[in-house]
Amino acid sequence: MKQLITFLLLLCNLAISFGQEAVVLEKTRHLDILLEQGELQITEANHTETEFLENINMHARDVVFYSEMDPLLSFEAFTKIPHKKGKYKNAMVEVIETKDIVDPGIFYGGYKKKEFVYPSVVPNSIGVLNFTKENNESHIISPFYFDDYYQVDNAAFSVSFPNTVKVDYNLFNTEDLNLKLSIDSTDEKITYSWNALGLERRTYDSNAPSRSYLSPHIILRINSYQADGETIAVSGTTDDLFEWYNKLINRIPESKTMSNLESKVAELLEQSSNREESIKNIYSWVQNNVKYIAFEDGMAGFIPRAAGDVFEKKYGDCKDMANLLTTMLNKANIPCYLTWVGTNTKPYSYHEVPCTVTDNHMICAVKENGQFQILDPTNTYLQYGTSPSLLQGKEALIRIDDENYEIVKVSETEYSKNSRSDLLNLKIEDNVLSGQTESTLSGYLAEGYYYSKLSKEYNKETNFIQNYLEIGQKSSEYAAGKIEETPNEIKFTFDGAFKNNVIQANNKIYINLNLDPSTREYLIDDIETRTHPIQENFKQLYTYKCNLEIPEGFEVDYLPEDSEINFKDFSLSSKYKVEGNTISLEKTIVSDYLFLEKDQFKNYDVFYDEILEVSQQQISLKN
Amino acid sequence: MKKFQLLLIIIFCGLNTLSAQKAKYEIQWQEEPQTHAISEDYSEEPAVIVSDNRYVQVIIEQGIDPATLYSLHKIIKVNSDAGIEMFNKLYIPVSYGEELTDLKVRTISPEQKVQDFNKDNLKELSNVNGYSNFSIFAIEGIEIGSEIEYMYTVKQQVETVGREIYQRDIPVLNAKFELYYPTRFNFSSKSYNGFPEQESKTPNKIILEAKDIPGLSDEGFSSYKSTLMRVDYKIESNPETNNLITWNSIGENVYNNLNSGTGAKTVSKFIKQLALKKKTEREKIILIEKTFKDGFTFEESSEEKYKDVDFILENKIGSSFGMNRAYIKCFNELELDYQIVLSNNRFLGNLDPDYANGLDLRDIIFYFPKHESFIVPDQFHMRFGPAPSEMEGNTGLYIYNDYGNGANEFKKTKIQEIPILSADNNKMGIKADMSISDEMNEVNVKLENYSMGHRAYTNRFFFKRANEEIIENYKRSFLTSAIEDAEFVNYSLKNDAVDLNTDKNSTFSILSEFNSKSMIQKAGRDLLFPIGKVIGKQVEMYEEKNRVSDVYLDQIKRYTHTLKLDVPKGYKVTGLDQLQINNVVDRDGEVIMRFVSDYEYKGNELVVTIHEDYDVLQLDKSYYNEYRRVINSAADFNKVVLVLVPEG
Repeated sequence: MKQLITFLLLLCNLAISFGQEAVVLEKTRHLDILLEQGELQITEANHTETEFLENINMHARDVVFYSEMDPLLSFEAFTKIPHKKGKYKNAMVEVIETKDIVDPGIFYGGYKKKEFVYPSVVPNSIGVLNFTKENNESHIISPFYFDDYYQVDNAAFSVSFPNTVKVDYNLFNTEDLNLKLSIDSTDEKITYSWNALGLERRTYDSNAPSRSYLSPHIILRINSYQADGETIAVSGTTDDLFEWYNKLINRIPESKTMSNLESKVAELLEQSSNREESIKNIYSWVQNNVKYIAFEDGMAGFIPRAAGDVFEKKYGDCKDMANLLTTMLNKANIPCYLTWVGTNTKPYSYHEVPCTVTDNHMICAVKENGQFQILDPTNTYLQYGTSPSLLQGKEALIRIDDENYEIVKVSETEYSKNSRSDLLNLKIEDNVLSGQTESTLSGYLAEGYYYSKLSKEYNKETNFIQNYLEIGQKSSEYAAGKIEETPNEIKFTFDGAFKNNVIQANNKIYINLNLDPSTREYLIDDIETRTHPIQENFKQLYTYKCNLEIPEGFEVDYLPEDSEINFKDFSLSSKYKVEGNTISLEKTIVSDYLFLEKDQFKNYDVFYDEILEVSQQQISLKN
Repeated sequence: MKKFQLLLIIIFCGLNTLSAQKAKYEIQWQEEPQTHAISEDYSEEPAVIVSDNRYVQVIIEQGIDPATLYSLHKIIKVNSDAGIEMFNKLYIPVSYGEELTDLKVRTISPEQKVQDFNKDNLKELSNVNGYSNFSIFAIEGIEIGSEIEYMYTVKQQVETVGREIYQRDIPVLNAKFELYYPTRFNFSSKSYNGFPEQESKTPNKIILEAKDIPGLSDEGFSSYKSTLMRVDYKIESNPETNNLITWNSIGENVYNNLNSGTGAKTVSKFIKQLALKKKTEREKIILIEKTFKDGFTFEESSEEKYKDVDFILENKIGSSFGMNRAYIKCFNELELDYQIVLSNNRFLGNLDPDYANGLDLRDIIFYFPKHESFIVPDQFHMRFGPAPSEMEGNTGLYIYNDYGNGANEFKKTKIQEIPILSADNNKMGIKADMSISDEMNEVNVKLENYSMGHRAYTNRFFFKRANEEIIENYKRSFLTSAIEDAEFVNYSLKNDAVDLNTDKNSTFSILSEFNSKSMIQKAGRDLLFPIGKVIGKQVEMYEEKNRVSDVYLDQIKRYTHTLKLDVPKGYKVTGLDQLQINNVVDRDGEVIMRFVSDYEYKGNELVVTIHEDYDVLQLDKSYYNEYRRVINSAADFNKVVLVLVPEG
């Protein structure tokens, strides 16, 4: 129970988890775009006012993030302390701490923050924060989110620009906001402003898609500007984005040495008898021998490092690894193309939002029989021919050469390719269900197994097979466990003794044959109260078959009814059968969605209730 | 209060004759390194530390600032991808004013090819989480079977106390500790958990060597870090003074440090504003604590202002050190009799009474002997009362002042155990009244979830802040963790004010009522009733392990559950013997823990009573399996299913 206490205290220390203890009265950002001597200059001015209502000392901290790409120009924060008759007295923030950010996923990112605490806060005090940042790269403008961790009374975003500059924008999730655009235009400049009132605080649900799918926000893009009588395109179309990306690719530095890379390619080609094998061998060499370490640093976050250097260092981030693999395949005379893509945390399309916000990952692509195949060398265990799970259905921007690119959709993998199937052959021995068990995993489930195995070795976990398969309760015993690994299929076998599933009462035996983990696997415990859709990383199929030998002298007293539930995105069937002296239970569960929208929650609830009901069914035998 | 920089003053008062010091140690950096052959026994390990050599040299010379040179030289063999992931990124802490020198890094491939590190790839991080700067880099050219070798030196402020932990989750084949110091001083070391001691006394240096240190993983329910092989060292004497570091000197230092600084005037104004005059001493203490915990922001930071009591009281922000000062100044202002107590979380370590150093004194609490109660300044949910459960039973350094004699001065220290909240005041459990609907398809449960002591303290604070979403989550995850389909019809709290945390006799309760269909299942004419689910999911420790470290329990506590079932007419309950579980563990004839459940079945009422008690905080590892047995009894009870069969 120690876990419970730690968990509760942890929760208590998270300001964001809790409700109306503070409210944002005002949250505004203004972008000022100037054109000075043919160069764009962008500054971003931010202002927020937060009123502290209850448990004030849990909310008085605040932070401002920045980096070399968007340095801080000015910063000011103070508390307005209620004084007399609706008047306030101000207390300036005196202590501001500058810290480098260490993000668990990014080894080095070059991000910094200023942290501070609003001073002298009492209930109904208002924390005021003003800061401006410079934007050094007109292709990268951060989206503005109208909502916040707290309720927001008034949120506004505005941009002003000279009429020699053209801007575009995209609005997301603002349908319910009654968001108004007002345009103010003078001879020198045009100002667009959007204003939203009364935004509810952000809420958090398990397995929900990222904020960008849910929160109202605006993405502003500079379409183009006029300089020396010419129109200079920035982020107006996919052509503009590609042109800029291509320029960055042309800035990839020269490798210090290529000879080791080249001889490795030659060696791998020697081991391959055809084109497909060559691709597979080179792909898996990079997957297995180059470690992913995210090393971002300003613009270096966009330009891959030289392939020869990455080859020698044996580590890199996604773009380094993509460039290495592309280079190696090209050296093998297999055309391979650098490719940009957004993972499933990004809801955008390149056609709609042709700018850097749309993607966050770099991979590569080869063409097989007229179709692009996606290669993601950062996914160590991904098989050639399978799309990375987190990229399913996303657009990939493929660079063919300096002039040409294509945007294609990454294919989705159907549920039947990602399957787990369990087969149990059991007897009752000393009131315990015992017998041989076999489990097979394929597709993304096999890929997932390899990651778990790595983490098991890293953390020196014991009892791996049992913890991984979760067949039977924790009180079960697994003996003679064996794992057979092939790249796309993992097979576990073990002798199981499953306790706590047999009840003897009077002259009867009650047995629950549902030893599968589906009640845990398919539980979405906040389905009745959640407000956000559910995002899954892949579709999957689960089949479970349990055969029980009827003990001598016993006969079947009762078998539960069969069960069948079918919805568009998920289904369950469970059937009992008696053949000779064997009772068998066969269960199939299909999960055929990547996104589960709110209107499906009711059905899911019905589906899960059925899983639960089936899982508790007991057969009874009598003598 | 995480680290004590308190010993400098006493140490440097004795400097007069100085002689030049040269680097005393030399690191063996082979010109043509070869990988090492590793015993087959270790082939399953993700990586093996071939050697881990650490060198500390205290330099006090004329004309230069006193400093410590700290060097580390390591060779690691990686056997698998997991091993590569463990060691391919390096973080070297380099604090303010320190300097990283002599960094050398290379990898040696299984083919004996050496790849040197390109220093351009070194990155500096400053003020990470407010504590330290780091130099970080990724190691280049690693593959399975290769060795990583690196060495570096950090020039640090002079350190006169230190700890080097050598054991970790993977084996260490060779370990060396070398400490060098000037002739005029004397240092000592003490080894723990089987790390070798110094064989013979040598002047100016301490050299310890160990071979084949086995890997030790965190086994859970243990004080992992404190069970690892390590050496602690410290200065013993300078030319003027012997026995420089004692519990008394540490206590005096902490006392003076906490009592120093600004605040005299602001504190008396602050106290005046609290209008404490007519209040009892106890009420005064409680109100000061409440004022700080409800209205002040604790910021974990080394920022000077956050240690300044004037600033803290004016701005309502302080670091834990600063807040400790603020508390003390308030206590002094009110002339209260209190003791400063330094100790540590039991799960992290405990001070060694025989070897005084500040390394295990991570936490400060205040003890009021007259009230036999503590203030725990940095835990918001704890109020004037017992010590935090993770410190209970650990050894504390109690610092007494001379306040009784009218002078606010350090008096003495005493090593004492931190008292433990008695099991009678640390009780919890559930009372459940269950009935089955007429249609025999639903169970109604009226549930009281009660707690006293530590559980109550946490709960009250949690519910003070929880909004609806969080309460819903709590109901699902804790009240009915084993009943997935519970539909709540009622829910309320009793005695939930955080202020009640000062009353150790007060019982906090969550009262609820819910219905569940999964609590009853038909099997032909019989009904299956999974009664065990009502106690909720339990910790399960079924895996057989060869336990290496002693078992640490979180609290001394007592669970008592009472479950009542209104048996439907026309049915009788069978399978009752499952309800009788009796697992009692004694030590030297005394019961130290137990899980005992029994039932009474009279007329149409079945009453089940469960007692689950833990009366110790620490157990020898030989008791591990018995401990598991008691823990698992609760998990087994959770799986009990009764059968209701039609009568006649």
